[in-house]
Amino acid sequence: MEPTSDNRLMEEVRDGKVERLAILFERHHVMLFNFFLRLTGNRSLSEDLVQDVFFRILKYRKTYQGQSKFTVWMYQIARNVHVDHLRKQKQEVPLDEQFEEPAVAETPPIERLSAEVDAALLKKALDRLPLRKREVLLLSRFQEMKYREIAELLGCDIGSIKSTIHRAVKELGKIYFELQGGTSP
Amino acid sequence: MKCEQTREKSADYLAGELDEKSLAEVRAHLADCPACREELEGLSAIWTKLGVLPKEQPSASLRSRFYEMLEAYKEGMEKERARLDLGRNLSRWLGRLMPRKPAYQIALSLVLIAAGLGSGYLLSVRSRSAARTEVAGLKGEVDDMRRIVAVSLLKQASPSERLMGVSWSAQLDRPGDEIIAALLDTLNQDPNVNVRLAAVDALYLFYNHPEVKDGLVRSLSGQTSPLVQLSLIDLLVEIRERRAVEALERLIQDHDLNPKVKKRAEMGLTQLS
Amino acid sequence: MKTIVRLAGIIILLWAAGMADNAQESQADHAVVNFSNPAKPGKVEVDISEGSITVRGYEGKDVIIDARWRERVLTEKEQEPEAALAEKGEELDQEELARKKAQAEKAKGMKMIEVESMGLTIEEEENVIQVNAEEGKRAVDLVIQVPFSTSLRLSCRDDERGVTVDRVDGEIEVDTSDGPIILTNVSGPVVADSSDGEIKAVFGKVTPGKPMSFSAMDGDIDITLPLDVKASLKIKTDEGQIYTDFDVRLTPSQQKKEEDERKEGGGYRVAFEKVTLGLINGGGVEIQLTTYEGNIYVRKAK
Repeated sequence: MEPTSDNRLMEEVRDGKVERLAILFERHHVMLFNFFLRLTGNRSLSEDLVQDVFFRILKYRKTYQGQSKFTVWMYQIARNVHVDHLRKQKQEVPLDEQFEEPAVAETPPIERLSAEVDAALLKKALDRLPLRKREVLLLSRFQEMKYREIAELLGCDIGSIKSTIHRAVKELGKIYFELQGGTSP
Repeated sequence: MKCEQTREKSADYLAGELDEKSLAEVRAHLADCPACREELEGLSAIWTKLGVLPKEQPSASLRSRFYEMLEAYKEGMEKERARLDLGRNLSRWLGRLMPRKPAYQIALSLVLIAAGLGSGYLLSVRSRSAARTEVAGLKGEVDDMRRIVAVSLLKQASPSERLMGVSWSAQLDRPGDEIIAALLDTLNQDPNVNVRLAAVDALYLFYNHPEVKDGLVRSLSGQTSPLVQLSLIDLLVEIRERRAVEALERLIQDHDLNPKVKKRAEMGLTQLS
Repeated sequence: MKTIVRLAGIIILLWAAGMADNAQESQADHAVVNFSNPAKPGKVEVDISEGSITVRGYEGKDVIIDARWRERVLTEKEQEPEAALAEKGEELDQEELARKKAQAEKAKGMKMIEVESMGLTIEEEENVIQVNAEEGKRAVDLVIQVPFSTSLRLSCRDDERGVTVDRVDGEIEVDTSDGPIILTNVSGPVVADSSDGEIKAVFGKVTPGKPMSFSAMDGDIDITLPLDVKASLKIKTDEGQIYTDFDVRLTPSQQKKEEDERKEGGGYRVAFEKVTLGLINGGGVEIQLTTYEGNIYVRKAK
């Protein structure tokens, strides 16, 4: 039997079969957690944010239209949750060009495997990428959303998403390269 | 294709979204344009490298918080529903309960009044259960999820999570063989005294289940912690499990037995015989 | 990748006529161990058969271990070779006996240092540091400093000092046979058990959603919780009393019914029967408290 689609499940949740949300949770919570983790660098905060997302999904279940893909809707909520959190922190919602505080990641000692060093530096570079570029990059590269869906999610045209991707990857490469230069023995 | 067009296509290129024709055009341009080639190769490299970032796992509390929230939400929904259904079910139930022969009807009401309960008390109990049957179907599905989570929690390294596993198991309406086996396993094998204690309490709730009584009796000889022994003895006495008599007698013979446990075991013997 | 560190103590012969019988501390060992991934919270597991464990949270990223070995003092019996031999059931001829007696004379007034291999084994693998004391007759007092977010699993047997933990935010699993368990400035979850010792825990805050459990056979259990904690207590005691200054809402137990007697002055004395369920601030974190003889105190943080 084919697994039920996300959309169908959410429609059932909307119509009263609330426990179906558990399946959606099992399918998506790890990805969602990683999304927040890459955005914020903080594990327990990311867990809280995931919880918030599902809480809102429950609370607003009756508003689910079923026109958008479930994941698009879910990530819309996720972004809102993140923005609300930033507001609560009394930070201005960062604009495209503003830098966010780099997140925690430690640089491991040099004798570790090179893949680990790479990962750590890359993570550091990602943390330094401005929020908007980072979001779009994460949604595309990790949350596996199509550009069309991201455009729908962010409410802009697909062309600007594609150019943001281009600029994001380019800038990420630049930061990563700089970091590498900084830590070579 | 010009450099600018190539740049526009780069995002699709990275995501592997280019159709055959466009891909060919891009490749053709790259062959002639070292600048674009260098840039696109650089972008590609980073894009691929991002795969190195590990996928992290959240802590187990995330899952349990979600399920608790879901439960609470469901309960809230059920209460709402029960309140709405009360009116509907009342008349249905009344019709069923009241016997048709008038003499019996009067007798019944007399009995009710004599018992000091009045029909009001019985009514509310009955309609609650009727409403419960309606949502029982839904509840069964949450139970399934709960079961999966409970079994996995019982295997965790953290004793607090295993405690949660025991607690979740205890909240199941119909535990099923897998849960009973997992609880008995925990009772006999868990390295932590507190978790074994909790398992005793959970198994008490399911003592009607066929495997449980047997498992409890057998567990007694294997326990070393005095607190767990006491708890187990109390439980066996409470459910009046005669088969425990032999196990208790053997326990009392044990030289290393804590004197307080011995006393309790002896008391238990007299109570069971 | 495993890191294994073996520490050997230095053997010192003490010449001290008429030294008292109290255990003296001799040499100390010191080690600094780091976690494979310092960015993630780590775990420290300590299992020693005799001795005490003190853990303190601190600002750094590494785990710092200090060990002080206690000397073993010859018991009365061991100082008398004849008695010792008699125990072994050996029969020796007069010559042998005379020789042993002469040896005993030479050693009189001194403490014997066991020359067996002793030491701590410390291993780190994937953010878990394991500290084991090799089985032997020497007790060791460990003082360990850990990053605040570390989780702990501690096990030891001692009659006076037991386990002490201060300012650690991770999960804490402790068991002792005789010694007390004293936890301060912790946030849990805590799962603790002691056969004879008492358990005392003072929580700075309580991590929601993580059940806790304390059990003591003979000792008291004394926990202090933040004012606004949301907790569901499940208390079982055979002969102990239960005291609390929280406003606990009692709920009927699924297993037994109990009476509720209240007295004036200070706290409320709650329940006579074995199982008591109570909700603090509406209920929340499940906390199980079980004793046989000891009293149970659930205090509000002031």
